[in-house]
Amino acid sequence: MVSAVYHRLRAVLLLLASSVPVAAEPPQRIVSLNLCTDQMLMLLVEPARIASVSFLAQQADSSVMYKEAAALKPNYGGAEEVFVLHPDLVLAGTYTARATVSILERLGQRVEQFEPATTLADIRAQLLRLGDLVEERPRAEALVAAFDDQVQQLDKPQHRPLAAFYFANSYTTGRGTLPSAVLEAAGLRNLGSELGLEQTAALPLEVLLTAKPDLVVKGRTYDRPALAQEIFVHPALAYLDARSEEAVVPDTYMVCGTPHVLRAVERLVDIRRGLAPAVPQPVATRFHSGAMTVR
Amino acid sequence: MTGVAAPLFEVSGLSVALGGRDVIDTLSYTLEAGTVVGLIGPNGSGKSTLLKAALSLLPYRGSIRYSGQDLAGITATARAKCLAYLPQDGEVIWPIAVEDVVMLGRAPHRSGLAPPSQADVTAVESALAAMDLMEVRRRSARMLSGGERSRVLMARALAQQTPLLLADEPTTGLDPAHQIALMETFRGMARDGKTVLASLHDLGLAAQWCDRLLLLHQGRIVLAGTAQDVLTPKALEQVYGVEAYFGESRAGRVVVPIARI
Amino acid sequence: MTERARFLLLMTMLTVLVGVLFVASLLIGPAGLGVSASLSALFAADGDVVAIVMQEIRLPRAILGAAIGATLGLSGAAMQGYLRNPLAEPGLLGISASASLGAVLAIYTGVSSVFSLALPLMALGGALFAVVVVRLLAGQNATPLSLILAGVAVSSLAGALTSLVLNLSPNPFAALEIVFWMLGSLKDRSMTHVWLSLPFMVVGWVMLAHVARALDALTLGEATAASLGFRLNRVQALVVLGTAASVGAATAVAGAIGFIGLIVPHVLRPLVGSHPSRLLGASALGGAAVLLAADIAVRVIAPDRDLKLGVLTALVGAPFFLWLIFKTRREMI
Repeated sequence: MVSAVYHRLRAVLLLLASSVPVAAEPPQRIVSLNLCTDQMLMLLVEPARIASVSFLAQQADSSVMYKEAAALKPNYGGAEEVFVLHPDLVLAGTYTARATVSILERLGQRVEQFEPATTLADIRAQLLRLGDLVEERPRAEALVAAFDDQVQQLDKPQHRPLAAFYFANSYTTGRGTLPSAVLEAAGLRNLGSELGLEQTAALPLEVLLTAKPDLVVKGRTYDRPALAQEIFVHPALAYLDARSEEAVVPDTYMVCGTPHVLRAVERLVDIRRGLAPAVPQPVATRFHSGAMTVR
Repeated sequence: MTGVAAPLFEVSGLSVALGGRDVIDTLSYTLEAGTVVGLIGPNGSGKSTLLKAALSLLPYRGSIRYSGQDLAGITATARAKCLAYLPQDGEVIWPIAVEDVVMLGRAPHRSGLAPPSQADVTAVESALAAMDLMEVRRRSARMLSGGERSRVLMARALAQQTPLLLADEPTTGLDPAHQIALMETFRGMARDGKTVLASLHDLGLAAQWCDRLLLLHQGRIVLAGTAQDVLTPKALEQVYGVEAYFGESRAGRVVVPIARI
Repeated sequence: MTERARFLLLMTMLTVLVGVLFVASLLIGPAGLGVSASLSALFAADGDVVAIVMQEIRLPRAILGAAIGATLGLSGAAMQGYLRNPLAEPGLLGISASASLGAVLAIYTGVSSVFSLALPLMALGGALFAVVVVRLLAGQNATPLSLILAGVAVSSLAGALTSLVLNLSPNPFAALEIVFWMLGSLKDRSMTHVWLSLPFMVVGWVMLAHVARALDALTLGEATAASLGFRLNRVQALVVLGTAASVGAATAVAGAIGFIGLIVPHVLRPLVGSHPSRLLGASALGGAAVLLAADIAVRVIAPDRDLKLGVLTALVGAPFFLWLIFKTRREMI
């Protein structure tokens, strides 16, 4: 029954698709299903060639490029809505809209998938790969060159203060994540990595307190309440904040591996420079050794 | 002061409405100290309702006086020291030991969770003895036979040691020996100056053991007086719709219903 | 040994058990602090990290574990005694779920951030609503069956409304928090939560303790209890308000934790000679011990996972509940 419906649907959709001329030239009707491919795409091609980006790209609280995306047609990741756009290239993340991607592939659509970027090198590689896909190699290379230039200019301090991401529900990021790479680039050490945590992992409040980081980068707080955010007003955290800096770096700059992450890096570099020079603490810990060099 | 002592218990103009209908209808009676009074009447005549209203367990109109004092004006604890109540179909929800059930009768006399006083212990012991429960005193009250449980609940009411006991069908479920033992207990209480008002279905027991009978019919007392006055062939025919055998034995009057009319 | 002495021995043992579990709860945590260092830090006045961890993170957790456990045990015993029904319990009767709904309304609409007492008060309101509705639905002298059915109805409705409120919240985290409100947790609770809930719980305990003798008398039925001088209206008001205040406050800060109010009184009942009055105190201590133990277990079994307390209590409680239904049904036939 279900398979019969599916086959009929497939037949109809194939009929629709066959009426579109096969692209022999650079893709002109590109659909992106993923917030990160959305942003890379908008950096590389003219709006006229973008058939649709994900609805998230248009939202200020998730997208750095929400203004650029405003004029584009949003999609909600449904196979049907993508298919009727007659795209000649579909971009997706490896973890996003799995079901949609598999249907589109079975219908013969060209779907290119992108892993989430976890290092600055990933950002370069993905920009170049997408540049090739959309036949905008020179533009991609220019973006990468500008990116590398900015990375080069970042200072490499001898004393790298300890920083910890602290997100809602007491989560942090460990090794192998983009936020961790951002911290490293900004001349900071990531507590999550030093604790041996992988990916996004729980960081109990008492472990955070006993680790005595120099800087706590708190996750975003939404206006509307949720228990997940109560951790940010836990009385014990107040004691920690008294001896370390608190910073809010918008998540939007660290969600996706685009050159925009440099804005997060720069913000963290500013904060790092504002940290008081390391003073020997009454209680010696392994995290408070060495002097901090401020350039 | 008139100089004449007020009756122990005086109900006047009592009406009780249940479901919009007067189940007890402007009814009056008095109980004298040191008597056993039987409350008789067919099913649905209002016996249980009358007893519950007398305890203020149901809203009522009219007045109920105990030793001249209006019951509506005294506290629940003070009332519980004057009137004990033995409900029909008494239950024991949790498997509490028999002697502990009987000790519950001492509640109006105790305060807080303090251990029982000597008076409490004495009252419980004599109630257990009176109801022939010494051998089962440590057993769970839920593990007893129906008759045993009735006696436990009766002992509980006895332990309350009130001048007036209102008992709703206390002989139901008891074997003849324990029925007689119970009525003898009532007589003993009357000799000690206490008063018992017991609803009874067994007209023979009512005739033999009660000083006075109140015959209830459709929410009114239609006859009151001695067994001789109340248990007449005419009254039984009109109220119960039965024909009875009347006789005399060495214990007194014998009344046995023999046929419906 | 007299029955009274046996009861005092039981209470002493339970108190010691609660004390041991309370200390154990203080000593268990991801930070791995030394035993003597952490215990002395509990009373330290300086702002040392160990002192902060002990005083601001572990102490409130242990206090809430003991207090909420006591609330659940006590209110379960009180409800069973008052309704004279072995299946009565705040969780099964939908009281916890309704208190959750009240708390959810208070938190996610933002009311409690303006007026913090709104949280326990609205949870209390939810609990109060459930007790009254269950009492009305099940009626006087409810059979276990009608009581459970009333509880199921109230629970499902409250659960559905809770989900609705959470799903409608614009905060993306809110929808995930349904698990907390349905299963309960003591993770990262603070002294703020203690101050917010403990006073209400204590008031509830005092109210429930006042009905102890009346519950004994209710063993013989409502009419007998009334004839013994207990004012049933007052008893009902105390049970309803006491349960609502204590369970409401407990749920407001820890979510709905099931089955403790059912199991603890059942296990302890034979040990106190089935006296409802003695069961109150014993169940309070027993509930505190069980919840502290459960909260220790969730931290030991899966330290990183924030395993919900209700998962553990249900794993033990649900089979017990089925056994109890089976037993009750057999007795009713």
